[in-house]
Formats: sequence, C-alpha cells, structure tokens
Amino acid sequence: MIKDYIKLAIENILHRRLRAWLTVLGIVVGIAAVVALVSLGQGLQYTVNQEFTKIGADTVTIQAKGSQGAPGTSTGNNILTTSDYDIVKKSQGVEGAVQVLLRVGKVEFNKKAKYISVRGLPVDDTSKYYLETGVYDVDQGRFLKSGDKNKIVIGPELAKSTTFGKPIGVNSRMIINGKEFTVIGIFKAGGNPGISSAIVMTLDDTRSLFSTPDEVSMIEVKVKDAQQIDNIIENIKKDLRRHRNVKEGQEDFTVQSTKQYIESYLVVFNVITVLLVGLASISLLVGAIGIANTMYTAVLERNREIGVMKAIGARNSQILTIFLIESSLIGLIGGVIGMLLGVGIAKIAEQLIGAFLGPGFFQVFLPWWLLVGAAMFALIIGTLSGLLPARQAANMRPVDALRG
Amino acid sequence: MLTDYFKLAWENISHRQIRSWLTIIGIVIGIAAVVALISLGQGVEQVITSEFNKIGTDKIFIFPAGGFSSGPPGSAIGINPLTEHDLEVIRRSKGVNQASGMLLKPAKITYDRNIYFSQVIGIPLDDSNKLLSDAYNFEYVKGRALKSGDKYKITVGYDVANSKTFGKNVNVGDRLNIDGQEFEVVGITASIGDPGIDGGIIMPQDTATILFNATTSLGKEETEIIAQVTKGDDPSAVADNIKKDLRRSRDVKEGEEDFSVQTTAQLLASFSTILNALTAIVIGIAGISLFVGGVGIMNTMYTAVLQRTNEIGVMKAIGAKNSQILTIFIIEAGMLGLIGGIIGLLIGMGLSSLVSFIGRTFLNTNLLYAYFPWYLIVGALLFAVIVGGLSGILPAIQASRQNPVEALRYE
Repeated sequence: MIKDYIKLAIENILHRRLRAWLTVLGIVVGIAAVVALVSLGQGLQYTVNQEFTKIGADTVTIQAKGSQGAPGTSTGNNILTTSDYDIVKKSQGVEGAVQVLLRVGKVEFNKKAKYISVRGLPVDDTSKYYLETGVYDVDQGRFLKSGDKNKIVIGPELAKSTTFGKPIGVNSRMIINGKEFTVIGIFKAGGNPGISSAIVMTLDDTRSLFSTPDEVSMIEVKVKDAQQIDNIIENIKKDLRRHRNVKEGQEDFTVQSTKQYIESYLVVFNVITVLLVGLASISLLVGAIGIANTMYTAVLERNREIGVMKAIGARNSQILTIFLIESSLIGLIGGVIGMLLGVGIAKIAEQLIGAFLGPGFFQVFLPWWLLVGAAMFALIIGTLSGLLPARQAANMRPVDALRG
Repeated sequence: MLTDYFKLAWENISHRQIRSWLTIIGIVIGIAAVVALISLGQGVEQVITSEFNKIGTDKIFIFPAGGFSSGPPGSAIGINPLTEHDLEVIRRSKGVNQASGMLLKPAKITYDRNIYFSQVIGIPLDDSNKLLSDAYNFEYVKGRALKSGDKYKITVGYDVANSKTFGKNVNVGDRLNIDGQEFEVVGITASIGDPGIDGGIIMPQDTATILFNATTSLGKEETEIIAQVTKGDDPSAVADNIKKDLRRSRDVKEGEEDFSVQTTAQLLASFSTILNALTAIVIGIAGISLFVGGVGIMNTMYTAVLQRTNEIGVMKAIGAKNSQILTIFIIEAGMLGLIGGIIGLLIGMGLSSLVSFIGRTFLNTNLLYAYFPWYLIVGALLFAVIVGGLSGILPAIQASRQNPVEALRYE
C-alpha cells in the first residue's frame, strides 16, 4: 500500500520534471549551505577543543588580572611573582606547577629584525609532566633539556623562509635582544597555534635576557585528582588571597581550569556558528515556500484526477497522504543532494584551510547525525510545506473537482 | 502599448493569487534580509567614520610595534616602548604642528571596598593636552577637566561613574584608590562610545609615570603619541617624515620599524576593510536565499507558461510576434520581483530600525545605526526586478517559441 503511494509520488514528480527539479534546487541550496557551515563550525570547535585537551583536563592556569587587557599595555602593579608560585606549589591538591614567562623580543636573523613572542619554561623535574603533554613536541632536532644555555626551539612558521627571507634550520644562530642563541629544535607543524610562530627558551635564559628575575606571566598547575578540580581551584584561590592580602571576590588574579577556558572560547564559537547558520536557514525557508507553491500548482493541475479518485471511493486521508508523500519526497531528494553538495563544499574549504595552516591541523566535522539530520530536516520541511496544499486537495468536493 | 503589457501582467498575477503571493514571499524574505544587513553594515561604518572625522584627518597616530599584535596574554610586554625622546623627535619632524603623548596602563581601582580593573590614561597637563582632548572629544557631564598643577586628581569615565561598576555612583569629590594610591575625582567625562575611555580613568601623566614606574633611559614612557599636521601639509607625507626621523633616532632600518605611524585616514581604511569583509560574508550567506527566491520565480513562470499554452496559441494565431510573447512573460516575472522587492525593502528597513532601536535602548550603544542611503533603496528594488526578470527569461523563451498549432491543440 505504502509502496503504491510512493510510486505514485515518483511518477507525478517525474511527469513535471523541470519544475520538480527547480523546486528541489531551492532545498538543495539551503541544505548545502547549512551543512557546510555547521561542519566547518563544528570542525573549528573540535580543533580548538583538541588543542586544549592536549594540555589536559587536570590543568589549571593562574594569571594576574589585567594581563589580558588592552594590547600594548604592560601589566600593572599586580603581577605574579615567584613567591606566588611557591604558594601555589604547596597548595592542597596540587601535584605540580610550572612557571611560564612570556615576553616579546627583537629577533634578528638574515639581517632582518622582527618582534616575536618568547616563552620561557623551566626544564627540570617540575615541568616534566607539562612538557610531555605533546604541546611541545619537536619535528627536527630536540627540545630543551636541563642545563641548556642560550639555546632555543622555534615554531614551524618562523622556520619558513617567508618569515626571515631564508629558512631557519637546526644549529642556525639568531640574535634576540642583542644576544646570540642557537636553534636546537623546530616544533611540529600543525601543533599548538600559540607556539607555531614563537620562540621557546629556558626560564633562566628568559629571565636574564629580559631582566625580570622575579616575574611570572602564568602558572600552569597539574592537580592530583581531576574530579576534585573545582575544590583545588578554591584552595589555590584561598592561599593566594591570603598571600597577596586581598579579600574574596576582589582577587587581582584569575585561576581557571582548562575546561573553563575552553568553555569561554566555545561560547563565542557557538554564537557565531548559530548566527551564520541562521542566516543560511533563511534560504531554506524560501525553499520551503517554493515546495508549497509547487504543491498548490500540482493540486490545481490534478483537480480532475482528485475528483475521479474521490468518485471511485478514495478517502480524504488517502488524498492527503498522496500529496504529503509527494512533497516529502521533493524535500528528501533536495536534502540528500544538498547534503552531498554541502559535504563537498566543506571538504574544499578544509583543503583551502589546510593549505594555510598546514595539512591535518584542521578537519571539518561530518558526524553521521549531521548528514542524517540534514536529510531528515529537509524531509520534514517538505512535509510541512505540503500540508496546506494537501489539505486543500483532500477537502475538495468530488463534484467540484470533477468539473475542474 | 507598454501599459497594456503591464496591465496584462498584473491581471495574470492577481488571477493565481496564492501562488503569486508564495512566489513573492520568496523574494520578500531575501530582499528583507539583505537590506537589513546592508543598512546595519553601512550604518556601523558611518558611525566609525564620523568618529574618525571628529578626531580630524590632520592627526597622525604613533604606536610601538606589536601594539595590535594578538599574541598570547601578556606577550606584548617586551615591546620597545615609545619614550619622551621619541615625542621630542616627532615634535621636531617636518610638517608637525604639535604632538602629545599619553600613557595607558591597567590598574586596580578600589572604591567603596569594591575592586575594579581598568585602564588608566595618563595625559600631559601642558598645552599639548588640548590636542588629546580635541582628538578624543572629551566633555564633562560633572566637574571639570584636569588642569595644570593637578597631582592626585582624576576624571572618571561615564561608565565608571555609573553604579553598575562599583555598586554605587561615583561623584565629584569622591576618593578612589588606584594601585594603593588615593586620588580625588574632579570630573566625570561624557559617554563618547569608546569603551577604553568610558570605562577608564584619566590622571596627570606625571603622576601616572610615578605610579606605574613608567620611565625608561630615554625619559617617560609614552604608550601612544598623537601628532597634528601643520595646516596645508599632506598628512601621509608628514607621516613618512615622522617615520624617517624615528628610524634614525631609534636606529632601525626601513622595513624593520619597531613602531607604527598611521594617519587617521589609514586607520579608518584598515577598519573599513575589516568591516566590509565581514559585511560581505554575511550578506553573501543571506543572499543565497535571494537565489532560491529567483528559482521560485522561474518555477512559477514555467507553470504559468504551461497553463497558458492555449492562450499563447490564440495570441500567436491572431498575429502576436515572438518578441511580444517574450515581453509579456518577462514583464510578469519582473513584476513579481518588483512587488517582492518593495515589500522586502519595507520589512528590511523595519528590521534594521528595530535592531538599531534595541541597540540604543537596551544595549546602550550608538554603534548599531540603521542607514538608508538612496542607493540602497533604489538598488534593492532594481535588484529585485532584475532577479525577477532574469528568472523569467528561460520560461519566456519557451513560451515565445511555441508552435501556434501545437499550442492551440494543447490541453
């Protein structure tokens, strides 16, 4: 029985081929745009998420408040220092803590000078876990080790010839703020974007180079028990409040878990994705109206046919079903083609982005639910758009319909 | 003759009411979305342009390099700062009428036992001060501006004075603690729409230099320097002079500058470029729906041709030329587009006015400004007609080429 309905629908659609294709095209365009945008947005989100989780769900970052302020402004008087680091290290639930110093240095190579961010990390037992997260994996040469002096590891973007006019390899020498350093390693391409065009050296080197013996830009903490992370954050906050002599709610520092950090990023991502998908969905609405239009026309053209069917005993519900299946089918065909087109567009975009950021770094996200969901959504749009025309057809009086 | 065409088109459109309206709605939605987005995009650009024009096209801005870099937090610290010495060099540059620097630092502000982190702007209190207050258009809703001789006095931004910041309003005469030092509020600036200033605090630069210990071997640190060009001189030529002089005094080669010099026009151009790119993307995505609407018109017209096959046959039999049949159908399609365009334009204008109203009343921003230049209105209508007309071409050609005998026989 159902099979007959579907067969009838296909025959009717094929009968007015050109117009059916035009209607399908309306849905194809909308679904393709939505699928492409969602998969790109989700892919971007996934990439960011991956980068953060590499650092670990059991890590906490402590920074001075205001240090994320307007660019070009240096920190105020509330900087973190090694004494804060000592407090954090001893806080309850903290397994280890790493102090990181961030600076921008004037870097000279091949007679060109650039301003590049420099990251100072301790390379001893305290930072072992942090360095093993994979964020600092090198591609050529090696990473810093205890005892290294005037040695640096550079990001893959810096090593490219486009930055300094000629490529930088292991054992190259670069001058940073007037002092000579030897490149001993180059980070993997497609890794953390934060270090892809940065220079990493030992904390001691950074401190003497920038004459900041005491300052700490951020403290990276690993907690003993990831389940207890919220309690541990509270402990750290309490200890730092006492040490820095500030009241609760008036902290001049922030303690954020990686999770919170990710979440604050993801919120922004989601808002942008929703906005763009919303705009693209407008065309789906227009496509749906197109289906309604086509179906009204179909009802009009098949007045007589409806009359005959009713005259020989077709019930209203059967007429309704015939037209609903037809409009759903138009939606479904549009959805499937649109989905394939959308996947194609997303894949092309992936290639383009890969060409910019290095292959493998960015992947579009094409989960089964997106693909199935897009096709189903189109089917539902088709059904809904067909509802009014189908009811008009079903409620026709056979006499009127036969008279045409 | 031509009016006959239009009359015929109108009659045919009103004859199949539901389907005509559905086709028109398709265009209405697309045009409304595009009109609303363009008018908001243009409005935002207008607001930004007028802000820059208030600053004046005769100004040149000098920042240390990396000032706008988006490095990791705290990474912009090691930049080679501008100094009092650089300011002197700029003042002596050819074509510079006057120049003034200021110091921007984040600070911890305590008032009524509440803490707030904000930007402190240290401005000079000598004659060069006028240049800054002109450029930033400072006005005072309460109290007065800082004047020569002030030491531990501040003026606070409009938003800082609002009770939302500290839980209670800040008034003239109140005392605020900034990084451990007490200051007296002497004035409250009017809201100028710049979050850095509305949410910031202005103090004498000499005091700020001491408070933040912002001195270098070459004198006071300057976060930003503004220069005014002598009347009649070309700002971009003067900017080049300043660049040359700074390169020499800071001992850097061309192409390796550790500072940036930009005229108001250049700053505006870089803002506009970003804004235009964003607007283009958003409009492009919304424009997809116009394409779908066009496909809808094409579909309706194909149906119309099919249903009026007999009519076409009769018209041809009594001597209608192919071109006349073509014109009839294209005008009908164009009219569908035009009606959709008119309604869409009105809805789009309503939407962007609504967004602008919401921005003003609820979000407290003047940035969302709905701008309706004549070219947007005319352009939207014209575009709708063209979309309609183009979508009608293929069906119209099909109609015009029909063989009269076959068309008459068609049922």
